[in-house]
Amino acid sequence: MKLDNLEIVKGFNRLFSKFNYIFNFGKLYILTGSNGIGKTTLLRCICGFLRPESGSLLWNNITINIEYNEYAKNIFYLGHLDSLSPNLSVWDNINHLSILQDIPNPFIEGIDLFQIFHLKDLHVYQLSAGQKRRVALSLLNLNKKSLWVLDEPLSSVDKRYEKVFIKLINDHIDNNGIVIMSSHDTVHHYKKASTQIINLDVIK
Amino acid sequence: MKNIMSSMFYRELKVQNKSLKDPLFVIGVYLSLLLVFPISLGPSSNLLKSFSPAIIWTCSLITFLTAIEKFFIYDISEGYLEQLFLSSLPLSVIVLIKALCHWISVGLPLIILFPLISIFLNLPLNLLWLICFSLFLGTLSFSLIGIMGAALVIGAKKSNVIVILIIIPLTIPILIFGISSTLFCLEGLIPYSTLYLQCMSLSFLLAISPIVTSSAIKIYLE
Repeated sequence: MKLDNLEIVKGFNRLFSKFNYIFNFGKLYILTGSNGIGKTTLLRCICGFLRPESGSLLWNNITINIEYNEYAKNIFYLGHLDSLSPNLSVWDNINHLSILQDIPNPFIEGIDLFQIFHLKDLHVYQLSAGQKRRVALSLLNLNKKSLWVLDEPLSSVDKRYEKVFIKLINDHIDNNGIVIMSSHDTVHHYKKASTQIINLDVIK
Repeated sequence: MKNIMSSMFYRELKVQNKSLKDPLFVIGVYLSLLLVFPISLGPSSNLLKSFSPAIIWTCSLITFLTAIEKFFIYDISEGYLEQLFLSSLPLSVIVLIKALCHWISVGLPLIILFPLISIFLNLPLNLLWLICFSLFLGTLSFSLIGIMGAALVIGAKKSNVIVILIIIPLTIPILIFGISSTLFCLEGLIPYSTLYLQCMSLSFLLAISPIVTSSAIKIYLE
């Protein structure tokens, strides 16, 4: 994946100009930087939600706008909102999202890494912020999409589930996937050799 | 593909009707709007009879407009719209499913209730099924116009006012055709011409509305 001369304008803010970067398979990229520097905007741009003012995004040397549907099949996006409907049960939400994105359903596969099985029949509005996050993160189990775009994935998650998450990320990198995520703290036990930290403050 | 569509349909119906209360609320709104007219026009049944097509259609339009500007608000605040955007189903098909579910949760209760209402308004019962059919065509068009307006005002301040300014002019042709076919029915004639016109406007909206709505959503996501 390659970002070529990217220029992103949001409102009256020129967030990026002449931004070049190459993301390689089998690596983890962590975006850091102060608030409002454009971490989320860059992630949304990578997913194709917003179009860059100029420049292009290339996936396997093809501009993503040309075959967007083919490109979108490779993406798993988890924003800082959990995309769970509060009025549906956990099971309904997970079942629907896994069908919608064509990824394995953790309930059916029987893999309870984030320990959400006992929450199955509760409505999402009854859960705490951390529990919601765990439900959303459970979609990463056995997820075969090659590009994971995660926006602050570990906000309000307990320490013990952080370890589970890190293991999932490391496994995904070993399986030749790309993980691009924004984060505030970078001192985690990701595989050092294949981790790159992109500090947007420095780049600009 | 089929799997995603049925899952989408099931989810939308569940989200739009959190419980059995919701269709009952729709019916309540419709009945209370209908109640206004006999009170304000007086009990003279002749006047009521000549106004009844207009009353039926205006009340169903207002029922459809209640809270339409909030149609996409929940999807946005939950971050669900992004997931729809990334799914392999085209956004216009998703929008069509949403419109259909909106009709099922608002329009279907009205049509099921209509025989009861026609007794209240003292309507002749022989061509009732044709009035129901024309209501079906009209209310489905209202749903399609409604989501178009709702998508256009996502993120706007005062969206509840702007959405009405967008929707009302678009519904006028549908109101005209609907009211005239109801008038024909009340006189005991079968309104072929106006029903055809209603079918025409519905099929036009079926073609246009998903495209407009999905491009409005795409613009919002940017």
